[in-house]
Amino acid sequence: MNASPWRRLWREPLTRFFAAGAGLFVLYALVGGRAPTDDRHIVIDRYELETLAALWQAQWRRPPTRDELSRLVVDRVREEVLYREALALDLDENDVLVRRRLAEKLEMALNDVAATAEPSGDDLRRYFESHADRYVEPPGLTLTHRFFSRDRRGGSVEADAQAALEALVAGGTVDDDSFHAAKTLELQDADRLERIFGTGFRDAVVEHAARPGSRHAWFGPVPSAYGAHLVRLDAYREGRRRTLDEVRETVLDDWRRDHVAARESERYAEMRARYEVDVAPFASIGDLVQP
Amino acid sequence: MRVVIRLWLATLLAAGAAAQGPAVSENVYFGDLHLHTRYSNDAATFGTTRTPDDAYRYAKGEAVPHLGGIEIQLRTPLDFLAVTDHAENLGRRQAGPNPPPDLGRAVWAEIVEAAVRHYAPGEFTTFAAYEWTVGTREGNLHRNVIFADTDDLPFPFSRLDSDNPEDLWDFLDTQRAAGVEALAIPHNSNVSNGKMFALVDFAGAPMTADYAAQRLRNEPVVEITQAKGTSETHPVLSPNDEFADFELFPELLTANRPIGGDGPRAEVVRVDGLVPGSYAREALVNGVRMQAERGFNPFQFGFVGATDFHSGTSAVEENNMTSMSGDAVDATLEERLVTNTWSRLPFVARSAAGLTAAWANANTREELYTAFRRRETYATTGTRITVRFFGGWNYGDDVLDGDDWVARGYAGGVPMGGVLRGGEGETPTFVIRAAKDPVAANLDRIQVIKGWSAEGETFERIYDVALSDGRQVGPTGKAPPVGNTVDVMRATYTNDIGAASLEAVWRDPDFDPDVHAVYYVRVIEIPTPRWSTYDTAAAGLPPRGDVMPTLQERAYTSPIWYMPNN
Repeated sequence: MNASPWRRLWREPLTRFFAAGAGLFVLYALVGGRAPTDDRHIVIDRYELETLAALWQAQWRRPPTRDELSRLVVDRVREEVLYREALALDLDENDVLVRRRLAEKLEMALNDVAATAEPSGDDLRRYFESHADRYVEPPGLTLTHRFFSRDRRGGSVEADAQAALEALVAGGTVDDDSFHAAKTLELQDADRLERIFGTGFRDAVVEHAARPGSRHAWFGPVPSAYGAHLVRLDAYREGRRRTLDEVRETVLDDWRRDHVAARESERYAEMRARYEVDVAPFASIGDLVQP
Repeated sequence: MRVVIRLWLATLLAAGAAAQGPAVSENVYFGDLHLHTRYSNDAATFGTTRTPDDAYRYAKGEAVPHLGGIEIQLRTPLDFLAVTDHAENLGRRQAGPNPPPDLGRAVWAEIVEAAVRHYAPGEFTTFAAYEWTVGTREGNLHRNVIFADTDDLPFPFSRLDSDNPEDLWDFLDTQRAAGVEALAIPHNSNVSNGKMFALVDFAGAPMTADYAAQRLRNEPVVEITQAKGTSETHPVLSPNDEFADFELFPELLTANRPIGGDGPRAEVVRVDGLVPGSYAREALVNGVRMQAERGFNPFQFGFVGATDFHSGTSAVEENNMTSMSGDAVDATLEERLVTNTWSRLPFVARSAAGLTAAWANANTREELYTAFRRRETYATTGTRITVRFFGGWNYGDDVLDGDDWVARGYAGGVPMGGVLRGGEGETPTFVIRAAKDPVAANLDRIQVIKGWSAEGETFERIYDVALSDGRQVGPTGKAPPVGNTVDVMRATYTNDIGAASLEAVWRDPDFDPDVHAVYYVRVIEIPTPRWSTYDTAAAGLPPRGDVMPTLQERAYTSPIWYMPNN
């Protein structure tokens, strides 16, 4: 049997049009959408009018006038007509963007189903425990510091700070420099120290805090981006792992994200299993790729 | 309606005045007030799949996946973020064909919900927001609308409702009267073709006092630095400003397709927009002139900075610039260096800028929003320079020496964004202190930029008020350059030049008590590699020849205005 008439037929644009239409129909059926049956009939029903009026009301804090509502209807009809004509002209077919968006839309629909899932109490606890390092309360502190400016003192900044430390330890006072930020800081999160003083300052303070007798005693000099500092810890709260009850909402959020991603992979694997895929052999791709 | 507005403003002002003594803002917070996610149709086209949820996670310092197969993360997290998707056909392209009729509302609900969920008072602040995207062939008039809260919000008023900013202000006034407070932030005046700061209203008629009042009520701050360039000033307007050529972006947003035909892009003649009317400094000075001549000032605005990235990630760090447009456009270093398919300017012309800094007492929505309202803000090009700026009548030369200098700054005058009313003919004193970003480059200098008008003309003058490394202003009025330690092949620099902090107690040597004037501060860093130079170095290539290999990052404070007594 000669296949060429079939091939000729397939080359006909009209055939391709019908094939594409059929494909779209099948896709709609699969996704659960509705096929465009009554495509010459545009209904602006009471619900649609309410929608238009509600949109207006939300923006203007008052209902539309009769004239305003009729303008909204005219715009809505125009949009619908152009949309349907575009569909009728197959402007959505053989369009890489449309294909990608449809694929994404199905992906989103799958996500939405997964996103409404609720973990059991045990699931959530197991998840929380295996990701406990995400739910940490950082150390908090109150510190007072004395500042010795590198701009002002140059190479003697360390020695000046060291001498001042000895004076402070001996109960004396020191003549330090004015600083662009506060000299007493109350921080809920010790990481903030990095944003105020620069790299390394937080670690120096947290390490010091771990030593016995570190409260209320001057220590340093601690180098910063601006010079040297003498620091006194007036209060310090250790970092700790939070309990599930404290962070339940966040954990639930994270569980859902991970769950959505996992379900998406599963569903894709299921759908992928329904297809047979042929890819041209990779033996002769030398001209397509970088060595 | 007017009564309610006045009541709201009165409440705001009373909140400041009711506290004992002047309101002191203790801390500075850094954030981005302009970022797009997949719900902006252009971002969706560029391959952006990140949601508002992803955007907030990235801003808080979490790692997010990147199409390039890596995870990307900020080195220093932000303190606040507003997701500002284009309101026009919100989410339409992301949703694909045959969108549900209530798509826009569903997407807007998701945007607001993300802002609600990620708000952590004291730690991280979110704002429900959107972009009103008006770009006619004549020029762009884009604004971001930032809501003060997340309750009872209207559906965004967009270009589909009106392309007239005065209608947007009417909408905001209407909302305010109903108890929903918001402000609009104009941006990309640099590509507005002279429209953003035109001296007439939208219809081309002369401005009125009512027009100026409505504009200021709704637009207290202007965004002057972002991915699509600088809107501070331009060499044509400021020929004596050697720092005026910073990250310029001359391409009109509305003209980025071939004009008058479909010839190859290489042959398209570049159409630059009009410069006058497109830059903030000129507008500030024109505003002062209108104040003097007509008794009102429509341009009494402060400064903020932002990214305007379309990737859902505020990647402001020059040495960590991972994606600004969308993963399909700039996923890899090679794509960032060669992509030039959707713009007449090379991709590398885009900047890794900027940030908004706000002075406040806590990282809460209320504290930050009221800081925007009273203009106690400054813009940076992405760096975290700290800068204080006070103006008053009686500061001593030693005001910066003690530990109480901030309290004395507030007690003795007004902070950035404030208005200094005439004294008894004496010269005002300005107190300025700047400190470098503690994980970035040293400072080159502090400048005061002054604008004023006399006999129908406008003037600007730049004063170098603090210089690093013992430099002095020479007889020409210019200071020598700070130098340059950048190795452009390796994309490195050192802090062997410049200063960790700079300060000045400055009195205007040319002060005239009878003349309205505006003053703002610009703090300039030493030269560092531009983001594109970090990219070329990583690729083992020489720096691009079409952009500067190094830049001097900077901060611009909101102005202080001087108004004579009469």
